[in-house]
Parts: sequence; structure tokens; C-alpha cells
Amino acid sequence: MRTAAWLAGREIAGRGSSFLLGAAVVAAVVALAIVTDTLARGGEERVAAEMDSISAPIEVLPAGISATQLARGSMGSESLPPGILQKIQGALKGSLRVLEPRLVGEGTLAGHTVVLVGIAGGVAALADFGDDEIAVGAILAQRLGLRRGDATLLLGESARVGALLPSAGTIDDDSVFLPLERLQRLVNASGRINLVRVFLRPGSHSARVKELLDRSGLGANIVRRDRGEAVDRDAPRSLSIWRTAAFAAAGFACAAWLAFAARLNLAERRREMATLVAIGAGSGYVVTAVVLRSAATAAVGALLGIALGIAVGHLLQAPSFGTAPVALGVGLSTILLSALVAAPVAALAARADPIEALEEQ
Amino acid sequence: MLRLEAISKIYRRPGSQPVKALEDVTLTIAQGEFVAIGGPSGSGKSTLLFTMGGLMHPTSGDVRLGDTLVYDLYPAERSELRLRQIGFVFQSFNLIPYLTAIENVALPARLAGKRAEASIEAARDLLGQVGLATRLLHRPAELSVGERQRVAIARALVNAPKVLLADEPTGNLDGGNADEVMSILAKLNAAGLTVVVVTHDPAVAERATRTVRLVSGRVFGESLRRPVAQAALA
Repeated sequence: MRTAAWLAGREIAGRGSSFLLGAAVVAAVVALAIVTDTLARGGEERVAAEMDSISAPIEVLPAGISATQLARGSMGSESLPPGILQKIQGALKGSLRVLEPRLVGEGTLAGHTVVLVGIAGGVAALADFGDDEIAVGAILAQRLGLRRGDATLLLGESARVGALLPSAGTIDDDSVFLPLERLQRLVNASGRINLVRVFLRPGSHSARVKELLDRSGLGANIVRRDRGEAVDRDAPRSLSIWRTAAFAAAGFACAAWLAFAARLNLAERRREMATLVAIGAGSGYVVTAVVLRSAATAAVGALLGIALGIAVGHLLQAPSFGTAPVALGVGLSTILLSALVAAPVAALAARADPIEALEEQ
Repeated sequence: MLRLEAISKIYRRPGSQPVKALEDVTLTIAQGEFVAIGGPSGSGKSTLLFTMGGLMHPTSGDVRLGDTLVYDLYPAERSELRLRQIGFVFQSFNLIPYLTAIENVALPARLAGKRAEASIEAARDLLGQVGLATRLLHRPAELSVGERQRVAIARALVNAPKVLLADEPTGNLDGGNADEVMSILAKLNAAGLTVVVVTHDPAVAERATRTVRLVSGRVFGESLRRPVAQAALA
């Protein structure tokens, strides 16, 4: 093995131009694969950012409260710990767009038990609400026959329907919204919140953000909601078809080139290999030397391609998460591929009649 | 030490008539002999040499090196035999172009498992013996044809083989270089190495202790030319 590696190294040094040509083609293919991946990821991020603008990707609940309980509005008496907003802001820094603290609970509206949601910030529709105004979800308004401007009773106090919210197809359609401080006052829970919705900046990765929050010791349940349910399921699925196709095409191109290069290399080295066999090198040695040379070509090509791919990806697209594992995977696959295509070609060549090659003048 | 018994070799290629390259050749080469195998082109000289060296399986017959039946060995064992017991010198040198002279010579030693430093040391010594002490770091393309053939001889010797087989070793050399190469082979033979040379050049055959003439794949005649010592001094 050491002698085969030594011989492969000497050949690379002695035939630098053909080695660099081989590596350059591999680099181009690897770079293409990485740029394609970066663009695909960029597309996913854009879709994700659009989803974020509609709804929060992350929700922070009191420990022990599940997303299902939240969906039913049955949050019980659990609260989020004091200072949690500051902790979240500190943990997320540049990824955070806005925090929307909420108090969610059950109460009565016009004699019916409904889900009440107190909101601070985040929702512009409530920003200029008067003290007695509420917003009612579309389905609930229909069920209770409420229209904008109607007077009604909320938790025994008079209230006026300031807005009817358009249907969002969520639990919000069956809820009543009012400013957070007013709800806290109505239920005698000053400063209490039991839900924080976390909106992220476009380009931020919700899975990473969830990991960050999980590690931040918030003492809360972190639920990754919108991206997990929609973007991660649908958008990547459609984009991944193209990405897989790009990787398959890149892999095929790499394999074809490396096989072609191995054959060219072996044709060039026919006499050398015959000489090695004649002087007593076993076929295993010859195959090892050829495979090592091919793998070295692929390794150098992959490194150049990764660097080039990342650089071009940055020029074309905002940097995205996850490039490093993809680049590593592409690089290692290329090296493995080079060994796989070179080995059988070398094995055939090592078994060929050395006399025929030696007698060629 | 090297015995060929009833060796025949028939080349069969699809779409062509079978060609008898060797027919019932029996030959014994004793330790320390310098044998020249002569004959016209196509007489089977090189085929005989490659068969002797374990590179070409005969159609029938046996090749015995010492006590070993060469073609009863597995391919890997035969490679090992070539590596350690047989030295090859080719007409067109067949040096590895990207290795320096010293690396070319050291290569079989490294293949035989010798440490890199020891291999290089042995190569340096041998290249000194063939007059190339100042050309160690030159690649084959930077050497004259005579120098290349001397490198090839040094390479053949690095694992201290029992027999040196040379296929037209002076075929590509001019008169002066040919004489030099033949002198080296004669000196090696004088030092006890068994040498077998294929040649069609009578002047080369003159340096051998015995000449075997092949015609149409058969041994046409043998002549004992002179004792080993006289050949070495010629």
C-alpha cells in the first residue's frame, strides 16, 4: 500500500498537467452540484419566509402544555416564566423578527364559552383598539351572529366588536382577540402570558432556531409549527426532486468523466503497467496505485469544487444553512465514486497480457 | 538451474490461423552460464525468453527454475518469483517515465518489501556500478539511450535475482553503447549471475558462453563458445 501510494504520488507529481485537468473537470461538476443545492435551499428559504409572514414558525408554551391543548384553547393555569421574552431575544439575536406574547384562555362572550386571546404587539389590527373593543374570528362571529360595531358582554363587562377577522382556517377563526393587558386585567392575571409566538427574519432556519431555544433553558415547551407542518413537508418535497435530479446528474457526470479519465490514464500507462507486472508487481498493487491516483484526482477536484461552489453560491444567493454537510457529502461521494469506477478498469488492465503491451513500440 | 522441457507455444487469435511460435523446445541453462538465444526474426526468441521468465504461459511443457515449476504457481506467486528471482531487461528499456533513475531502480526493491531508505541505497550502489553515479536524479527522458539501458540493467539487479533475462538489450543502442551494455552483462556473468540474452546480433552472441539458435520455433543448433571466464574478459 505504501509503495502504491508512493508511486501514485510520484505519478501525480510527474504528470501534473493531466492530473490538474482531471481534477478541474471534477471540480466543475462538484461546484455545479453545490451551486444547484445552494439555489434550491435559497428557494426553500424564500418560501419559508413567506410562510412566516402569515403565521409564526415557532410557538413557546408553558412546559407541560402541548400544541394540541393550545389548539383547543385549554391552557389551564400554567404560565410562562417571567423574563422569558428577554431570554428568547437574547438567544435568537439576528434571527428574530418579532415576538408576540399572548395570554390564551377560556371565557364567556355573550353567554357562550369561547377561546380568549390577549395579544401584545405583532398584530397591527389591534394596535389602535379602544379599551372596550374586541376582534372576533370569522366562524365565531357567524355562530354568535356578531357584526362589526355590535355591543356584547365579555367576561361580564361590556365590549364592542371592533373587527371581524377574516377566516384563516385555524383555531383563530373561533376565538376572540383583545389587547393583552386588558385580558390580563379582566382575569386578574397581571403580567401573565402563556404563549409567545416567535416570528423569524427571512432566511432564518426554523429548525435551527428551535434547537437554539431548546438549548437555552427557557423552561418552556418549544413547538415548531408552521414550517414543520407546511414548508418542511411540501416545499422541500417539490424542490428536493430538482435537487436530487441535480445531484444524480452531477454524480453521473462525475462517474462518466472519472471512468473516461481512468481509461485514458490506463491507455497512456499501458506499457508502464505491463512493465510493473513484468518486474513482479502483483495485480493488487497495480489496481491500488491506479485507484489511489484516481481518488487523489477526485479529492483535489472535490476540494476545489466545494470552494468554487460555495463562492459562486454566495455570489448568486444569500448564504444558507446546511451547505457544509452537503459539500462534505458531495466531496466524499465523489472520492468514493472515483475509486468505484477506477477499480474495475484497473483490475481489467492489470490482468491484460503484459507481453502485448511490452511489444508495442 | 533453469530447465525448459518440451515447450510449445501456439498463438491463437480469433479470425486467424494458429501460429506455432515454439515447438518442443528443451533447454537447460546451468547456474553461471551466459546464454545467447539467436535466430531470425519471428523464430520465437522473445517468446522463449518470456516463457522462461514466467510471463507467458506455454501451450505445453514445463519451465523449472531451481526446484520450482514456474507455471504450477498461482499468478501472485509467479509475480513474486519474477520480483525476487528473475531480472528482466527489455529492448526499449521500459523505465517508468515519471520516476528518476534512482527511483526506477529502487522500485522493485520497494515492491519486494524493502524499506524506502534501503531501496534507495541499493539503487545508488547499483547505479554507481553501471557508471551512472552522477545521473541518479535524472528522469529517463533526460538520459541517453545507453544510460537508460544501464538504468534498466540496474533495476533488474536490485533484488539480486538468480537469472537475468534480456530481450534484445542492445537492439536500440549504437555500437559504443551496445559494447558498454554487453560488457556490463559479461561482468555480471563473471561475478556468477546467470544471464540469458535474446539477440539477432552475432557480435552480441560472441560475448556469450553458449549460443542457442532458434529457427521457426525449434532449436536449430547450440554451440558452446568459450568458458565463462574468457567471455567475461572479452
